[in-house]
Amino acid sequence: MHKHLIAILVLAVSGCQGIVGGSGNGGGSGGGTGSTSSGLCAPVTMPALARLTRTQYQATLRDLVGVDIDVTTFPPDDDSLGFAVGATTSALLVKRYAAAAETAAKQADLGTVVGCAASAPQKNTPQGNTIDEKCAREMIVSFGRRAFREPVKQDVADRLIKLYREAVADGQSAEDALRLVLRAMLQSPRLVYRRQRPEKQRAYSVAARLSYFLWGAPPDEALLSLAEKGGLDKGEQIAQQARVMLADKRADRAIADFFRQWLQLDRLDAISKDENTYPGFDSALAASMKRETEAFVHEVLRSGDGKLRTLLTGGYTFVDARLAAHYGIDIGADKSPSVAHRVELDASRRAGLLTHASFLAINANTDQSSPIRRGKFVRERLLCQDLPAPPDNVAATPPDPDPSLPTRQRFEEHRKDPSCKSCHQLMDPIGFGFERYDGVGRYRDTEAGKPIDDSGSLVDTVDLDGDFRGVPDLAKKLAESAQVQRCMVKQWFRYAFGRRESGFDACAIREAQKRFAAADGDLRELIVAIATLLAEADASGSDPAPSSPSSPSSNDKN
Amino acid sequence: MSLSRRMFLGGLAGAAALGVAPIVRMRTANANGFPRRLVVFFTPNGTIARDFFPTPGDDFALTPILEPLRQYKDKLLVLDGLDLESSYAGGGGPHQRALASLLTGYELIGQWAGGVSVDQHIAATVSKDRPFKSVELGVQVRFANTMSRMIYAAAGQPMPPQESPKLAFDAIFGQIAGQKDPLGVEKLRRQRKSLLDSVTSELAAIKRELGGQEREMLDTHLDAVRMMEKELTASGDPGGACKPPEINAVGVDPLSPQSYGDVGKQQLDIIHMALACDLTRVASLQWSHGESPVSFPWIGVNSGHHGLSHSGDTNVAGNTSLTKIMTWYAEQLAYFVGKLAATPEGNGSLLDNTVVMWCNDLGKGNNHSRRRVPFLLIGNAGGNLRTGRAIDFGGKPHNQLLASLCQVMGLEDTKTFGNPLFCPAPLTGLG
Repeated sequence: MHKHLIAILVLAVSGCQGIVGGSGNGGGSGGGTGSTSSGLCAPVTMPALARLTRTQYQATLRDLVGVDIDVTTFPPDDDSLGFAVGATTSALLVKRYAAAAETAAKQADLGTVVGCAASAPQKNTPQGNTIDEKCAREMIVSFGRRAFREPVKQDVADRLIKLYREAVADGQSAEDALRLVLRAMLQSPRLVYRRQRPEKQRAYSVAARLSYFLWGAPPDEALLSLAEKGGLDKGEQIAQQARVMLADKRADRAIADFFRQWLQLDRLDAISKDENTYPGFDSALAASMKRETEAFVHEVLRSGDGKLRTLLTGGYTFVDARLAAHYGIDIGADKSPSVAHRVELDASRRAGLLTHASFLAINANTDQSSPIRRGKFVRERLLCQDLPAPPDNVAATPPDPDPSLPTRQRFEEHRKDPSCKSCHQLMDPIGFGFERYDGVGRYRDTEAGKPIDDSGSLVDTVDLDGDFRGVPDLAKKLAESAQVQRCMVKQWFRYAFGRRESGFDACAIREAQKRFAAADGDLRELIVAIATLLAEADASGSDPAPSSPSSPSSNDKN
Repeated sequence: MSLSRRMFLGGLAGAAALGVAPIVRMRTANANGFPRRLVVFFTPNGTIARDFFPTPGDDFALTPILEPLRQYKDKLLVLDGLDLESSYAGGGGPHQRALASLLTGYELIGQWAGGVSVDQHIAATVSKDRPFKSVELGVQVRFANTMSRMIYAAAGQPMPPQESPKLAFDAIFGQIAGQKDPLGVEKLRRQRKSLLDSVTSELAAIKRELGGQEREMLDTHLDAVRMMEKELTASGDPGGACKPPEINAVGVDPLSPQSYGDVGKQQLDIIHMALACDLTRVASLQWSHGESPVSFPWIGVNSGHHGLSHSGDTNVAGNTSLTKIMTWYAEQLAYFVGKLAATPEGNGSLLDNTVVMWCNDLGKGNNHSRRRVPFLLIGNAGGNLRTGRAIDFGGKPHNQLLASLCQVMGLEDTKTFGNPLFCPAPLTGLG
């Protein structure tokens, strides 16, 4: 405990001179003395109750009844962490559950949900109708096991059967009554909330943690059976199972989901740019940008070497005709214009994710680039150093740079104010290195009639301090940094646990980083390591709600 | 997404089926017998003080930003000199603190505000017997983080606004749409009731299993189910000014940047009719969030609002754009106030029985100041507000205004609101 206290005190006084979490090694030996089957560290804790995010709820209904509900009609989940977390609920959300369950229960193919309903020829005829109370009970028990991710207890089943009986007594057909029960199950708190179960049923929680993390979806029958047979009890079994699940096609979705959130790709769905500055920019081009990044991530993690280094410096990408024209790349007239084709990049101009138009356009203003946003992304999501909130009531108001100056000079002007500079020096000089790319990610040699200066610099890092020139150069440095590697571990930790890491997690994070490093930065090994931590985590009632840090994160930036 | 007029007319039948009670005279009603209503109208990123605040007085001169409200000048009560004092306590970034404190009068405790928001507090009394306790709508709020939430059901329990006019319409006016046959309606009601009962029993069972941990989410869920039950049993008959709004939502994508104004108007139409039909007595509209990226090319403002709000004090172009944006918001407000004014109630109008509060998270965007936050009250709240004036409170905590708002809405015993450290007493001189 003593070490934690010191760590906390150091953080409290750090401010902009030493960024929060800036040591990259912080947290001391905060794992305590406990040990688990797989390691040296005490189990990480997780809240006893978490709500499925809207994306998880959608995937759950898709898996269970084959219906794709529109979750854009759901209120979004809290994203202060940088990743969506189901830590609060609301009346609006509960109503959306009811509406989604109604739609899904109506559209579901009952025969697939429960076999006995398959051959129901007509509704409610005495002859030949295989739906009866026995069938309803069968659905509750067999479908309920998957829907609630554990065997359905007697009292729960009894309450659902009562619902069925009342509907039939109310004059509804057997099929309609069955659908009503299905509708109740699809909005049941037993489906909507993930509870960490006590020791006896712990294996079911473990199955659900693995499947939501690795598949973004509920466990299937095979996984539930494995859990039941004790196949997820030991560290080695878990790591083995995580590898199997990661190799499964279903893991595509979860991997894409992490990168979609980490890179904030959804912002492209409603991005707007100033028509005068960027004529021709439209939602179709934004969609092409999103596709590029998704295709690249998919290639690296699913077919390629899976390395963080490749994500950051890869010499190829995927462009459709629209994006190719935007980049000034020729994909050849014989190629289908709507498909994203693999193309090799001019290594002096572009390399890896940070030169994707998606990243560059998202981290820009409507009518200009933004060294601040680009630098902030690197600082917060690649170096895991939180920027303190802007000061309250800064004494001076910002200067008014000459609008005819290039972006870099205008932002440099802005940093002259000392009260702004202390924090902006942590972002802007990184962002200046991105000035080769305009607000929609096009490469440029000049701005406002002046040649682009793409020199940048990093300060206050663990192992990256120094100057660089342009993004390909920066990307190379980032790719070899232990701080960046450690940050990726933290990002995946946050995504998996729905909360920020604390000093108590330092031991577990350090162990995961060792495995990640031993695999030469192969993200797939990192994912397995995190899956193992997750499976071995302890539910903790005393833990605060999953996304409740002591104060809102500075990631909470829209 | 496209909505047809027919769909909404279908909703009209739905509203008739759902039944809308004739306006009930309650103890929070006014001398004229009509109930009081509260509407919160939020816009972000501060203002340009000289273009917003008039010189205080009874016969004040309209400022450029307030110009669109000229027709309703005698219904305006402009409040200068109010500070979000509670936002200077606690942690968080400036936009986070500001949004959290604006309606709750509390600082952030952890990630969320430490108390209920004033609209919800008032709704618990004035809207108690209405089908909807309150209606929270938004325009392209998009996010769910601290700087995107201003309404709180309780400490730590932020409430998201509905951002889709279609879904808002369906929820409020189209409950059991298309069902003309009363027996069918009854049956649907029974069905929904039994589904809600099922959710309730499982929530109770899970709460027992968890043994007291992590109960807040389950309690909020339970409250939501209870509200939905009440919405089911609302009955009565629409009449008089109550007609579900006719909204032409064809081609209006609630998330498209070009639709910003259209979506806002539709949401305001829905709020107007929810009030006119007395389906609720408390509503709010939240435009964007604390770091609004919205640009307004239709008024010649092509940069994002938040970026512009950091223009220096001497940046004429930047400040002109900010005034343009605030003036545009005032136009939207005038549109809404016009609807209230055109809705007869007794010898007057709905506006006479309503108070609309235009509020902002900041006073000044470029330094995140939460002092001199622009507050504007519109309407008489049944004679409880003496309007047509501009008052300067000279630097009082805005919690005092929130407490006054409770009184104005009929919670007359209110002595304080939010964190009592920042609320010595309600404001005087509003009535």
